Amino acid sequence: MMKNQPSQTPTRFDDLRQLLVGEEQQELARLQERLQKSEETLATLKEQLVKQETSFGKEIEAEKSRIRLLEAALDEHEGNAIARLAKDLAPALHHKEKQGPEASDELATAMEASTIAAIQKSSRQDKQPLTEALFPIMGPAIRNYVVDLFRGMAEELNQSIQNATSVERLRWRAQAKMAGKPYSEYVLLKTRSFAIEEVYLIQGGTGLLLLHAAKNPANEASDEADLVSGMFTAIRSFVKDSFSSDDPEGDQNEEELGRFTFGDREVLIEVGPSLVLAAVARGVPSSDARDNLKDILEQLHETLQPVLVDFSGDTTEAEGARPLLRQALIEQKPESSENEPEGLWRAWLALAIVGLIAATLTTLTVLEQARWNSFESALRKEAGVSISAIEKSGLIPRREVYGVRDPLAVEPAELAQEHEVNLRRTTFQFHLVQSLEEPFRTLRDEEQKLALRDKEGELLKKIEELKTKLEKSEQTQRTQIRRSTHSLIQSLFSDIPGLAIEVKEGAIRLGGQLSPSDLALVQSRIIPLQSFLTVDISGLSPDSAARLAEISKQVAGMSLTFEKGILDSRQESSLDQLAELLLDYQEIANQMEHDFKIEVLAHPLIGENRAANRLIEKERSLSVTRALTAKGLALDLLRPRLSEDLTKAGSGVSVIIASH
Amino acid sequence: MIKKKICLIGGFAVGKTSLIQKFVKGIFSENYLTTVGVKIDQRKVKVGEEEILLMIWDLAGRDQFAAVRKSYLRGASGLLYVADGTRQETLEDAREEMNDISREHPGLPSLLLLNKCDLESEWEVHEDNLKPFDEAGVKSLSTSAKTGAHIEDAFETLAQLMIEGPSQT
Repeated sequence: MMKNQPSQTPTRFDDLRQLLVGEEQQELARLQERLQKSEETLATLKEQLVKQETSFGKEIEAEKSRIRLLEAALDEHEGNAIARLAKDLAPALHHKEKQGPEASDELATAMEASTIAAIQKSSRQDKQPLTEALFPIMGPAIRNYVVDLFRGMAEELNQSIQNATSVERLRWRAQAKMAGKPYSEYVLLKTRSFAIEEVYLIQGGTGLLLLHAAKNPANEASDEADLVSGMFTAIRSFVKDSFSSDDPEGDQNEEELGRFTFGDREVLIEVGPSLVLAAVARGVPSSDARDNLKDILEQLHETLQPVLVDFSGDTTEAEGARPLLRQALIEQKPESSENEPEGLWRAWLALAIVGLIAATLTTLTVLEQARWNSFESALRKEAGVSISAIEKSGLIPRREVYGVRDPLAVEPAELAQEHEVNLRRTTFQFHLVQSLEEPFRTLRDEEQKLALRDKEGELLKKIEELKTKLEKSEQTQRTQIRRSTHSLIQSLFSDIPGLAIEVKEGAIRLGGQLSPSDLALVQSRIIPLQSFLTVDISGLSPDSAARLAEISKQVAGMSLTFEKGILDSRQESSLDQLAELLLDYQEIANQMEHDFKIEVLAHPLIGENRAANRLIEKERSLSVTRALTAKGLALDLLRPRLSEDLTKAGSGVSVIIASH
Repeated sequence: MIKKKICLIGGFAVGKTSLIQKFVKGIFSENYLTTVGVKIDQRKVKVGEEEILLMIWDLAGRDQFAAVRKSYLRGASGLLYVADGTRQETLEDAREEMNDISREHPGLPSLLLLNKCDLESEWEVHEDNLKPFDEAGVKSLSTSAKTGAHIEDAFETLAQLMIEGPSQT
């Protein structure tokens, strides 16, 4: 329904539109119309512009053609002009020169700036062409100059030699002394040449030139003399006013510019009250020349006094003094030497010697420099060496070389020696640094390894030495201990005869056959020793023979007493003791395979009834024998016997061991 | 031949040197003015039958080389004061110079040259300004270094005055 609604009511919308935007629509229509007209105008203008451009383009082309034609004509004209100029330049220059000095000056002035600029430019760009061009001129000139210089030197040297040696100079010395002049001045007077070439006589107040005299009279006509005279006066005033003391009466100041020099010329100025005399001298004038000028100035004052009183400026009035002024133009030549031709050889000889020395020195210097260059080049090529500066001083060069180098790099002094460089005049000041470049890193590592190895070897060697020392010390100590121990043991057992002592490492060995008492003594003494020593007593044994003798002795001293025929009961213990001793003896004797017999000896009874006593005595002997047998003694060893020794009557029974 | 020393005196840029260049023959550089404060040229003039060689000392300005100017003026037979007619202050400078110098050298023949007379439109000097010079007996002439006007007259007039002798003032 809604879609179809506008089409059903167009008139109402149109009316509404008319009401809302009617004016704007009209305005829009007008603008569109104007735009259309403008576009049409623009198109027309474009069309006209295109036409004009076409027209201008044609005109421009035409103008270009004309310009080209004109350029071609101009080029042709210029070409012709250049050709003409090239053709006419040389004749024109000749023509100008022929016109006289003024025209020639004008030409030179015109060309001066560009010629100088061209030479300067050529010199800046490349000196070679100018050098080549000037060489033919400069070469001979320089040669002449050098020859003149040497000739002058030779002459001066000759003069000097003569000054010291010749008779003539001795005479000059005497004359100088007499004249009261320094010898040097006198020699100069005699040997130096000089000439006063021009003199200007100037009026003091005005600076006007009164007279000018020259050695060459032609120069006297110069117009410039008046100007020079004026400038002399101006310069004199300038110097006087600029440099004299601050005297308020400046005009009265007596200080004057006495002379000034230019090159080899010197202007001597003598000032009088009204006149100034300026003399241009070449060479070194003597003081006599100066005195001469003073004299002449005084005479000139005298001569010209009337003129100067009221001087009108007419210099012809001073002409009368010209001859007097010309007297100032003096010339002095050196006195010819009496023996100059002969004397010249000395100068040449001296020069030759000097030349020879110079040549030798030069050669040595060149050789030394060549060796040094070779060394320096080699040193710079060396790895691990860096030169920072080389200071050279002295005529015979002394060099100091500064730089850094690796300790493993080449030693500069050694290299210098190889190149035959004089080490007495060379100092090396190299700071040692460690280069991080190869081969120094590898070399340094290897060196460190070697050093470590060496150290290790040294340490091992030291350890070995210490070991040896220790061992020796231990051995010594052991020896000492052994000796001490031995001494101690010896002293300890010195009272025991037959004891063999052997001292070993931490042990002693005792041996020998000792009596039982000694044996017992030894055994008692070794007890404290065993706490720190091993005591071997396996070699000790009792002394059997002694024992047997001892037992024999003991047995011999014993006797058994009886109560009638019966052994006293109190004697039982004695019997046991006896039996023990005898058994001991038997054992030892058996060990020794010693034959013996035991005599059981019954001593006589006291009483006269001998026969009856005999029986009792026999019974006593048998009873003891039985008792001993009972105690263990072998029966075959026992021999019952009766004693007839009455001195021992009543002593019972005693036992005697009888050895075979 | 009679020789006379004359001095040219004037302020900066009044045209002294240009005047001389039109008139004289010289051998010295202009640099002399700035180095020693004077440049000397010469010119011959004729006064009647007498030929006079004028030694012309061109002096640097008053402010420069004051110490030596007095010496340079010594012995002068005549003076030329130069002023720029287009700058009135240069006339005043010339007047001051004249007053100073006349105290030291009274009665010295002198002329005042008003230079640059070719620049009429810029002319600043009037008759009244010249009164002090007239009163001192210093005649004035208008000159132009550009056209050369009256330069010869000026030197010849001064030469004439010198020949006649110092003025009685």
